[in-house]
Amino acid sequence: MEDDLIDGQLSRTILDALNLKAFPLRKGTKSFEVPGWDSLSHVTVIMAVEDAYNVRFSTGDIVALQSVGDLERLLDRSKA
Amino acid sequence: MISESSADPGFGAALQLPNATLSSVWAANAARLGDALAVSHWADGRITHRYSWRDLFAEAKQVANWLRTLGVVQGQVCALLLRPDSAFYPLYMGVVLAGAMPSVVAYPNERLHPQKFRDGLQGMAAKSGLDWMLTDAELHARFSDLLDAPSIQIALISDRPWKTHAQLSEINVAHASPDDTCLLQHSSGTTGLQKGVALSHRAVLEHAHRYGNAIAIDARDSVASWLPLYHDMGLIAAFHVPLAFGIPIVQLDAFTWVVRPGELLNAIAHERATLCWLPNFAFNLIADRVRSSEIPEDACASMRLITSCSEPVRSSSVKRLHDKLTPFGLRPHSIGASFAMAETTFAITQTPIGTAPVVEQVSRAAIGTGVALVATDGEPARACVSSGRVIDGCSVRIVDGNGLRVADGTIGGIEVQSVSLFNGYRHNEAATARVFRDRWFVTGDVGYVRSDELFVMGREKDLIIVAGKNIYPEDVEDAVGRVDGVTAGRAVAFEMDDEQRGTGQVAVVVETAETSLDELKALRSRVARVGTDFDVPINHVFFAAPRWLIKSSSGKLSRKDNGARAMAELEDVIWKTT
Repeated sequence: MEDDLIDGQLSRTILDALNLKAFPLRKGTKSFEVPGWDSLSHVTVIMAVEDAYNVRFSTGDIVALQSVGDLERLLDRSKA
Repeated sequence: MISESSADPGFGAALQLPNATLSSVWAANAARLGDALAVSHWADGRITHRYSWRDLFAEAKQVANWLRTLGVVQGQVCALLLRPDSAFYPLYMGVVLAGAMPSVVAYPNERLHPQKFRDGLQGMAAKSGLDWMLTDAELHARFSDLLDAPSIQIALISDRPWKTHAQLSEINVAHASPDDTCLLQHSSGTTGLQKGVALSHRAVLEHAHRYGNAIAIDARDSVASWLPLYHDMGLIAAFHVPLAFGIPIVQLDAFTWVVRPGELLNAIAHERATLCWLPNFAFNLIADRVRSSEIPEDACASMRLITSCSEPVRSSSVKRLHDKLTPFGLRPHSIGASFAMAETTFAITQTPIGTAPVVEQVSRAAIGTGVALVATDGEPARACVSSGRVIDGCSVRIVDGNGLRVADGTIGGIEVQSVSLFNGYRHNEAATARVFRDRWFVTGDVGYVRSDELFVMGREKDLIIVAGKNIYPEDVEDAVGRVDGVTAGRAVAFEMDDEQRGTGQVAVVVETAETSLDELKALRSRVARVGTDFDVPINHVFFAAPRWLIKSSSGKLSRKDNGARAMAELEDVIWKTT
């Protein structure tokens, strides 16, 4: 299942935002399955990713996210 | 075409008629305001629907006709269970026009365990008597086994089925008495033990009138809110009050707001909103999680009052929001506070317009003895923020353990009276009787009054008493929640029995991402040290994995539930090293 893991840099950015040392973030992982990733910390994660990659997501795109894989795909689209 | 509302000699007049009901006031506003903006609904950072008063009221009458066709009759309870959607407004009003009682229920998010949602809904249905469930196809599919209970009738609201119906004629709009119950609000909780707060037309309209006076509401005002409408602050302050006066409502989707709190500022700037209500945590979220570079210039130039309510008001939060928004046009003294609860419709107190909330530095040693003495220089102190002064039609008294009134500056239980008091908990006379003492409503909150200002310190039932010393769990949680290694703000304090000494001990459950035994030991020391900093012995520290703590549906961490769970499941809750 290693190939299901998301990009390492993105994973580190998310875990740092959540103050987590380690947690396997797979494409299908949902935010509520990750320790500390609740509705109030969601904005912290999004801002950390935006700052790390110098991108800005639309509110609609953020609301539509269902999984970590969705976030990775949104990031790829935004960087393109 | 929606026109800007302007000064109107009829402003607020319908509210004061002797037999006013929600229906009569809304009808008068629709006739008076016509094409003026009633509701601007925002989702995903943009306006998705704007209702004029004419269109909103016309669609509400279509809803009422549709409900009558379905078989909804006067006096029944219609639970509204839908995602934030612009269909909510005519649907809610249509239920009232049909003579039924709307009860807004929190839509389950993906984090809520399905069984907890079932328990909550079943409890509500059993205790309050939900006759109808107005919901969407998605939720019905997920919970069809529960929602299809014989006692609850379902009506799906997807695609606005009422749009093919004619408007209910004026003559057929339900004729209610001002003292009839017009809505049912459920207290927070996911245990199924929620009590349904029944409010009359008179209570809601009297409150709108008197609270409107307290905040000097006028025809130029408009309300911006992201608050969920199942909560009294959202439903009354940000929905019923503006509907009663006919001022515009700018409503954001709460799901959107929480991922982009800056959207509230965008909406305020775009709509030139003037009034806003926020719980304390929202002050911090906006201050910390909105990039200044993304706030529109002069975003808050129109804003004349942001009221902190529904959570203990923290002076640091007020200052942070003030400092954040001042460069964007927020004027001095435009942040206030209020003490409110569903049972009194909403507010009991409010910071007087044009003044800042009074802040007192109160001696922690004196608090422990039940007296709010102002601290001397250098003495450990707690910053107590006033929730303002009593509004017209309400009274406050502070009582001791025997129900006797105490002097100003003495800490005790807060009891209130209001012309907008509820009609009782629906179908629960015993629970209703328990919250009254000599016609005073026992709020369950603790605080003190000084110079006509009410200072709320916390919940009475959560008070921790150690050897005769009163300790407020909010204080412990505030300090422990900032300890390095504890997930910010994720700490709950509660009382554990010390059988040997015959008193209580302070226990805390904290969430942490730390995993090694050495790190946990060090963290335990840091937590304990914080307690000694303000003379509170923290005897027990339970470590839990992030997201272990239970929240109620209103988003508050439950001390009772989390304390019981920590003691029962301790072996399972420690975030183990691997």
